[in-house]
Amino acid sequence: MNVFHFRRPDSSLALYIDGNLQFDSRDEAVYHESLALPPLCLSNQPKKVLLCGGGDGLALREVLRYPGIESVTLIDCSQEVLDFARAELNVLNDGALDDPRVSVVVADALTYPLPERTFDAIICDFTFPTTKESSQGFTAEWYQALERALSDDGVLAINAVSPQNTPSAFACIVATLRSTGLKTLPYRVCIPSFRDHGYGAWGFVLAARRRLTIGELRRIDCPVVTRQADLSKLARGARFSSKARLGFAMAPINRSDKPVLQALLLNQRESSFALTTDSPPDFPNLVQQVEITHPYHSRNMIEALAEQVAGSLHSIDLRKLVEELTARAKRLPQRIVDELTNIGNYLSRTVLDLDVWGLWASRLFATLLLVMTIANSISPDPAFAKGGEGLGHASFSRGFTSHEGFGGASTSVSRPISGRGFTSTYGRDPVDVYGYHYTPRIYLYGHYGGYGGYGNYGGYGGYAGNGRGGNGAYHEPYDPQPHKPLFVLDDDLLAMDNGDFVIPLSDSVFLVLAESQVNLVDTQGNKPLMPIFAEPKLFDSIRSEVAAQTKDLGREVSTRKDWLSWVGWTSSLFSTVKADDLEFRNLQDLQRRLGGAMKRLGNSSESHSIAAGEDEVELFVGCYVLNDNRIAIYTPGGHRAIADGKTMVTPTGQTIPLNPQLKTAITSVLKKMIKESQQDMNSDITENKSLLAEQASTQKDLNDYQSILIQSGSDPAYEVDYGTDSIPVSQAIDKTQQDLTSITIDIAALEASYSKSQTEMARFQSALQTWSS
Amino acid sequence: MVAACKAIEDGDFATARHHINNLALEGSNPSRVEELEKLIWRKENEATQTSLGRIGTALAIAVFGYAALSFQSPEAWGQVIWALGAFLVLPSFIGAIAGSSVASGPNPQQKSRRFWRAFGIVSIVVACYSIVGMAIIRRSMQSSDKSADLLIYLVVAVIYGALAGLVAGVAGSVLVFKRRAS
Repeated sequence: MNVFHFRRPDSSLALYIDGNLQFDSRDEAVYHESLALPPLCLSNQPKKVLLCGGGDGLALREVLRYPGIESVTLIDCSQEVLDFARAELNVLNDGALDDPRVSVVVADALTYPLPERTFDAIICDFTFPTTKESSQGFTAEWYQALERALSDDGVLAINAVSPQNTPSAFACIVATLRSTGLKTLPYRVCIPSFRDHGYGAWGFVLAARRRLTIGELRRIDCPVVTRQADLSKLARGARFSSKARLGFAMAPINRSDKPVLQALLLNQRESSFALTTDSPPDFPNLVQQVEITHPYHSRNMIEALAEQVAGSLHSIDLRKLVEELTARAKRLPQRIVDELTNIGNYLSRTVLDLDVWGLWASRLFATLLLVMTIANSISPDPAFAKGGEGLGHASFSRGFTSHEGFGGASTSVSRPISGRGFTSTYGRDPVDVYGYHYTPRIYLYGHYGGYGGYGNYGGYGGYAGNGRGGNGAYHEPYDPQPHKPLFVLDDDLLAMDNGDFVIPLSDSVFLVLAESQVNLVDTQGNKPLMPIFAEPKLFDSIRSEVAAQTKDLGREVSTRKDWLSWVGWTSSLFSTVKADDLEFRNLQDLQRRLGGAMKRLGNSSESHSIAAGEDEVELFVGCYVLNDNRIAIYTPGGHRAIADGKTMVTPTGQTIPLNPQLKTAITSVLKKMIKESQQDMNSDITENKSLLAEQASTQKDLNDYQSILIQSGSDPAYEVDYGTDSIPVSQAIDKTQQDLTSITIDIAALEASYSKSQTEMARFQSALQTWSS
Repeated sequence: MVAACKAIEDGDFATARHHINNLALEGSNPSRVEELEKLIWRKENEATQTSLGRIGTALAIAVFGYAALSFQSPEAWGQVIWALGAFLVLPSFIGAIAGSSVASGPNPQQKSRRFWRAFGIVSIVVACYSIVGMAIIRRSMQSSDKSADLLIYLVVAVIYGALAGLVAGVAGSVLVFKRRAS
């Protein structure tokens, strides 16, 4: 290990190991605070800390500043660095190496036995991996050892490489850490001295058994006052572009037996090799693909060497050479002539053909891919899943309880099947359009032979009886049967196995829709409580949703049909193809049954919608809470029955005692709606907090940019950091202002939603009090 | 000499060269031998140009033929029409053109080369077409277990490629041979 340092006249100091800058005392705190403090802040009251590398004692200094630290184990392989730190850096590291809480171990950390699940925080501060040996500190095996040494709530932080200059290598380190099962949170920090050396923004990775979020980093509350690093800005450095995040997922893993990090560090370049029309292949591009395998080699060296070799080879036409030799072979022995003839034939046949074929095959594949992609864009065949339109996710439960009425399906979001419900549980468990299956719930209800007028929904006959009581509204006995949901159209809308539609209102009451009618059914008694006004908008909404989802299913059926037309004959060879075939048949069956259900549903028997008053809050379809806490229930024909928790005034003006089962049902729906409103409000509060924090942060950014603009002498072209990009300050101000406007609009919408939920909940609570008394 | 001229005429340049070498060794007139050598070079260059042109034509037809076929899925074409197009009509046509890129002499080796050239072009195109076609459909199917996809692609592409290649190879060798006979 080659350790070198120099002091400047202002007594600042820079340390280099193996030619790489380790720190510059003028800004080392940015690095060491950003590395050491986040894992301590994010772990739960850290006491025991392991520090691997970092023999300069600077990261150790930061750890010891953190309150509550009981012991720190520092493992460094270099006695030379430790001696140097004690002698030259004692002031800079506050004598950290001699602190009584610190145990210094001079050993190779990679081979040192670590106790299991012991350390609340582990910090790796290894040198930049310039050799195969130094890359060992970035392998999956080493990270697995650290994972074992980490306590359950512990957090690990590692000093990685630059995600700006060596993104593939940084992604490799993140992927390698992830391969141990730890959840990672990469971030980058700009360190001026590193930037001056051309190292780019420097990367670190946090890892833990639990999920670490950017939000945690944003809310980081560090009890230690930092000197140079701004920990509140770390969250910004943790935002990576989708391309970079994809890189984290796709990067190779660096293992001891299969090291890749070194090659990635030495060969940072975009793969730009592409066949051009000029053959032989584009030489500069070809040379770009040659990997650098040694740190002392450079791209220029490789190119110069390759050019020399290629120049020599270029002057020789092998085939022509052999043919010339053959033509002048009369002076040679016959055996050599025959051999040369054979070589000539072989070269003219094989080498030429292979060149042509290799080149043409690559071009052919690329052309075919391009043409087919264009072809499928032009011709949106459902087989290629390009042209279908989904109809979004309409929430029926909200639709029935708000004045907006029935949201209906409208958007063009596609709904591909991603669950396995259609292959594994179809017919047994309910399944939704995405293919996810749900826990089955049995609904017990029967059908009526028709009702000849309004029954006595006071509960002493009619709907609550066996069909023969009351005023004889029912002509046939009521015979409840168990029914299972087959298909979940929405959280609040189920298609049953017999073709009915069910809307669950609470755990104890639901609506059954079939044959143009709507009935309120009690789960406990399995009895119909009363007929409900068949709101035409509800029927339209259901029809629209079913049509939309049937269309989506149709597209999925079509795709599977196309797939099976290619590979169906291999179903006896591949179980996956067999499963695809089963899914295809089940989807077809569902399509057919939904078609039947639509026919069975029919159109609403009503011609007009209900015109509810402005002060009425919808509880569910056809049922409204009035401002005096009474409940209005609309019955077929649009007639209104009004109940106050004890009595009910029928549409004919009769006052009768309220059916206790109906009272229980209404109360349960009120309770459910209060709970839902509360949940909506809580969700709004959480989201609002997050938006307000984002607004404050964005406002601060805007102020920063504006002050930078002033400091730069009002030069709008002055470059500033914006996320991961560097853009002119005027542009950054515009973009930040747009963000701020957008956030403000979101906050206003959220406040309106909160206010509405609050009003509704107050009305439901008030009604519940009245009905419960 | 006659055999060498006949071989040049048939495009069998390796045999022609062999005969010329023999002539040179037997002490034939050097200027005559040189003349024949020049003839071979000229004919071979011409043959190479023609051959590359025909390979290019065959490839272009193959690419655009199968791309046209990819405008719809096999199911949308109808299985029979698609199978006829993908495994009979296009391969035969492309095979005949690709086969004619090899000299049409009666030498069994040439016949074999015609077969393999037609087979190679069509089988690669059909294999690519199959893989791309399957991959495009498969990409839109999220729910399926895709663990065996690579193997499925490989099996289907190899079988479809071989089938179409076989038809093309036969067409390439037989149709060209018949044309010469006529």
